[in-house]
Amino acid sequence: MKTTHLLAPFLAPCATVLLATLLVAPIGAHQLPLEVVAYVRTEGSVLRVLARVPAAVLADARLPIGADGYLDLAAIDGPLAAVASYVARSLDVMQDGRPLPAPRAAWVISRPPDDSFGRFESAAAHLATARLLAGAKVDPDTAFVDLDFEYALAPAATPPARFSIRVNDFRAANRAVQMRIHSMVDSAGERPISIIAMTGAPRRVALNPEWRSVLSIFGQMGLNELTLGVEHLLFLLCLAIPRRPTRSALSLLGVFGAGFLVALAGSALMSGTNDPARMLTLHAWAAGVLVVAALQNITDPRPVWLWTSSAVFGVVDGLLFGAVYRVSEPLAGSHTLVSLGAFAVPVLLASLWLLVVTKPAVELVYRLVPGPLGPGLRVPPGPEGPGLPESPGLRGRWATVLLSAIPIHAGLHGMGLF
Amino acid sequence: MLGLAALVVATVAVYLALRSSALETSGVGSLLPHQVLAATLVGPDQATFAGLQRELIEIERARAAFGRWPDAAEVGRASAYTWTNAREGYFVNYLARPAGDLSAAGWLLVIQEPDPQAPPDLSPNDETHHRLPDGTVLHVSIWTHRFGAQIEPRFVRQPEGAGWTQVLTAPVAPVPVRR
Repeated sequence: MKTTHLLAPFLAPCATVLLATLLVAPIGAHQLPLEVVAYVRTEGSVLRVLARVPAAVLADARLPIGADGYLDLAAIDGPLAAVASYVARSLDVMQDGRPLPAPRAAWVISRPPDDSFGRFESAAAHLATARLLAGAKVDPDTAFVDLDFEYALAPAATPPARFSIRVNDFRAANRAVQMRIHSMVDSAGERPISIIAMTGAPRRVALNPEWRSVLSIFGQMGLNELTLGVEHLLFLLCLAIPRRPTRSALSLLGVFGAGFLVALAGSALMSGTNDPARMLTLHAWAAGVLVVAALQNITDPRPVWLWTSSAVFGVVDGLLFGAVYRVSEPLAGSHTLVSLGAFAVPVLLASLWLLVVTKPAVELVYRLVPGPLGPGLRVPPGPEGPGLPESPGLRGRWATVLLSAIPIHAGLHGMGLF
Repeated sequence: MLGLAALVVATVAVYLALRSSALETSGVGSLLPHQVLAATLVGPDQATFAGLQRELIEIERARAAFGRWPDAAEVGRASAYTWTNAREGYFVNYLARPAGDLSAAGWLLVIQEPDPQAPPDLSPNDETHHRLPDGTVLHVSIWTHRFGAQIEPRFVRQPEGAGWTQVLTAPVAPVPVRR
């Protein structure tokens, strides 16, 4: 019996690792989204925006096409002026919450391969010097419209001035359009302060936000993510299911929290995008550890195994939350630490609150399960108080099994087994 | 027991509040690919959309009063758009193209009258269902199109297939709720 107790928590994680690794399907190649790139930089009393817009997302502008199917560059200046006006209106750059007056605009047509928009300086030089000859052959499906906007800034009432820009207003018929903003607002150097890459619905983003708005945005983001994190919520249920003293459940939550914070911080420091295959693997891991934690409620292993599974789940969960945080981290501007704290603390506090709330609800279920009481249901009065049972007996066992079936079922689904 | 009940109720309330705020933040809900929320448009376009909602009510009022759809010349006289209208079957179009600015958006009002042979439409009044005083239920929608000056003034039955984007104040349930 003792051997079974020792092996059960050990074998289950190994099986989980094996299954998680085997079940993650390879992700096939997919078409890259069209991308609108913009650099935003303050230069004295001027805000400069350099934007590269694929002509493919400007189909409605009806850029002139010659008889040979290529862009008619001799007749393109008029339509490009309309495009510049449209892009400026779409970006809707604001200073301290007020729209800036219409900018001075310049434009050129570019064709691939052209990597001038890899840096602000090369993009500015490209816009200043490059101009294709009227007879050049430019494919309208692959061409870029490069734009240079200069906004005259108003003196800020309370420096530094705060700037915001609208993103994701560009649409293409059959392809996703991503927008990447390189914010160099208040930057003395050549490197962007932040690079914001976004898809989805149009929205406004602050380029150099105040720490208070960062606190609010990331706090809400953390809580939203908590409500969407099924594995996280079910793990809290796992902690609440056994009729162990509240202090034990809280210590396990503490171990989970430590793992969560370490992994979240580590994940936030990592660079790169969230590879779908890696995210799938992490979710499978989280589901696997969830199954292990739920099984531990039934097998009742030694505390060290409980701590281990809590810590491992904390790490995996932290990596998952970290992936979400990393996508939005550029929205924090220079307030990275504030954003990280604002993201993590509400998650942990809400988890604590949920655990405290769930414990009595689970206790109610134990009381409602019919059947004979087992021997040794009540522990003698002691420092923990007289009310908590040490050995739940047959009735409690059934309740534990039934309640644990919920996270086990969800975990197996998450691992792709059903 | 009362305390426990209060805790459970509080948990559910907080959960629902968080879910609704999450929906509000993303701002898209269950929008289709050809739909956007008015709140995500640029400021001037939001104002135009609000004006068109009022214009639509005026058009319906004229239809209810005189039994016919008003001509384009009677619509949007004060706006900076050139209006045209067209009708095909039960569908009515009012097209507003920007008069001067080549880069400004164009707008389209689409009104669908009910087929007299069809059973009565029991849809409740909402953003896309307007009921005339005689009980006639109209399907209405407001659409926008970039570079509106370049749009050809012709009848459009399915705007989503012609590059138009439907503007809504809130996502519409795919199946109307029956009273």
